Amino acid sequence: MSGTQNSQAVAEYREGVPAPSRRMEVMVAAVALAIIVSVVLLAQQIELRRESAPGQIDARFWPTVLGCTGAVAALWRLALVLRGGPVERDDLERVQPGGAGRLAMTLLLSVVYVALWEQRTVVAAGFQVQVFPVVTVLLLAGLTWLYGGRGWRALILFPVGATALIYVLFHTLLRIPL
Amino acid sequence: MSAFAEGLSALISLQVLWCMGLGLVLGLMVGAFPGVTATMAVALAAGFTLTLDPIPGLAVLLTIYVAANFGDRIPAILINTPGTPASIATTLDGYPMAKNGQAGLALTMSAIVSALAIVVSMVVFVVAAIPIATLARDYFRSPELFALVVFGLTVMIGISSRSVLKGVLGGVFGLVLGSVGLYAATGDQRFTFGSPNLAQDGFSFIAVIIGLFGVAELFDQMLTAHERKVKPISSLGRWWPNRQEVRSSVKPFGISSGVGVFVGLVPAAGGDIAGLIGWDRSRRASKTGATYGKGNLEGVVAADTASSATLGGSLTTTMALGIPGDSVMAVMIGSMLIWGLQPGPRLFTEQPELLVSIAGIMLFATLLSLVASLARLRGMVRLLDTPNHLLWPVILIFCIVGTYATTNNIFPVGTMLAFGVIGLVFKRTGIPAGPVVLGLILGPIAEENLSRTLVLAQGDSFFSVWSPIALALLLFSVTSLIWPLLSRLLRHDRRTLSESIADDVRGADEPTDDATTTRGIQ
Repeated sequence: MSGTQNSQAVAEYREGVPAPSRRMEVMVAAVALAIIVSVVLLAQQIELRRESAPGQIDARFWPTVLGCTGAVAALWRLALVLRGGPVERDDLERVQPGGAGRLAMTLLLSVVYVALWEQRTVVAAGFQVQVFPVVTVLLLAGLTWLYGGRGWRALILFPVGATALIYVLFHTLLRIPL
Repeated sequence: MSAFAEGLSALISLQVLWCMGLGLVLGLMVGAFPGVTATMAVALAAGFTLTLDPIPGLAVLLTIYVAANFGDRIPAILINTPGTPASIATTLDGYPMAKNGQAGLALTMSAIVSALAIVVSMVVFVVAAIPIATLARDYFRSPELFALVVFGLTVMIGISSRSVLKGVLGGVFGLVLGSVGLYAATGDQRFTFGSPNLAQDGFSFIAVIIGLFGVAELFDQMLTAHERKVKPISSLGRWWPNRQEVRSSVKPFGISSGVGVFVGLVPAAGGDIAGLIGWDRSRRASKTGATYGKGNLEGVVAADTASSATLGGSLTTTMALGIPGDSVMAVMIGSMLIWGLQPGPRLFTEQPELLVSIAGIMLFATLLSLVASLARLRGMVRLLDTPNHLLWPVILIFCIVGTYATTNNIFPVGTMLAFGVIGLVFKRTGIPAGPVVLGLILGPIAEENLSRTLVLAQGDSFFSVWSPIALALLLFSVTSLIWPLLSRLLRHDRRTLSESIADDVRGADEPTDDATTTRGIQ
């Protein structure tokens, strides 16, 4: 490979990975430190029903040790990133346009699905209807549409077929009360 | 009835056969889909295998583990993207072979050497597991068990993370998660915030594992998905090797099977590292080493032998010591604990028939995967074209229903989704998920043994409590944390162990293939 081609390939590769971010690294270390300090504080508030025997550790000891260890690591990390330059992130792919929206909608649909499924059964037109198959077909159709699926096969046949498969596998064969 | 006969007879049932068939299909499929790792598949399957008895459940999970090891070679060879991290090294010679019109030959040899390497590694498992477990049972008391847990955790942190400190933070997070719920010694509630679900069992292993390994990976793909630039190679060429090619494969097979078995025995080191080291060692020992990386069949043999030979070693460390040999095994431990099987020194010494059953499942799964790989390779190639709009909803719904199936309760489903988001944040910020899961699983064991050790230490001298074994393990733990820090400081190198080896063996200035490969494995 020639030098020009090589540089071009490197440039193309760099385009696909997120830019190094010192600010993100500082934030990660700071948030970690805040969470760990909270753990230590919460550990001190654990209610002890009785005093521990001599030499025995109580319910607060282990979380406190972990919290202190984590705090040292977080502080060390914070000091390193404040002193050092930005960190390469070439192990990650860049977030694509529309990716965050796709993820947010997926989470929203999933939460709504779980909330509806928790109803288990509803009475519609005098009949008791099991919620799981209905909401699963709707969720799968919604997700398929969200990810770019179009046409009756993707939006009707696939959700119905996949729901039937899941229902037979979990409800009929494994006897899970869906 | 002898342990051997008992272990084998447990496998002779239609249910076990059916479960292995299911595991085979799932394993080959997840292996073939880039981005869906064996860890993710085993975590997903753990949702419904918990409703089964231990042997059929193990049949599903172990067969996925084996079959994914065959399926992941297909995208590595045909589109230069490893199906799972274990096939990173396969891309080095597999894809160039495919471009030279030898994809069929590469796929066939890959399947054959993978099967043989697993058989070799299972010999090690059968021979070494019980002696190692017996040794550990006889000499490992609470201080040694505590030190062993710390050792397993620190090795995983050292290997899996670019930043050791981020790995430590991940490990601490997992250990704190493991402390949620009732403190067994006194019955005090910790971090339950009034939730009866948390007070009862703490966080569900399976929900956290599926969230961190399955859902987080899926969410990351949703964020970053773009059209694949590399189209699968459609001209596969001849399938079977000639005598000369078989003869030239013997040496790389020998070298790499040794490398693979050894790496497999090291806690937390998996097929990705073994494949790269095996490829590199074979290249150095080969007369045709100069053509490695340019489509040399020996390179494919070396890479796939080494990564497959880790399976037996990894299983040995996991089952005999209770320390996961790789990330799949970390998930497996979670499932086994729920079945009431505690991997560790007592498992095989008290239930030796289980060793026979596990070895039987692994060997039969290998045979099935080999036959399926050779018979179905042409059909499997089509899987690479499965669009995301069908793949993603199926994975998500299986994660949701699989998690629900573990307890027939919606709470773990919420936990799983929450940990999917946490896992995504961790992935995007470089905090590894492996130490989190290991901390969650091993945390209670570490705390219990530390507690007993401190009681033992009352009035006794330091060296009568902390034996040379415990001190050596703690010393190794410190070394495994400090060594990557030191080497990275000296070399200004922030890559993980597998990334360092990958870059070293490829040479620093070949970014085109690196780009595809590195992005494919994350």
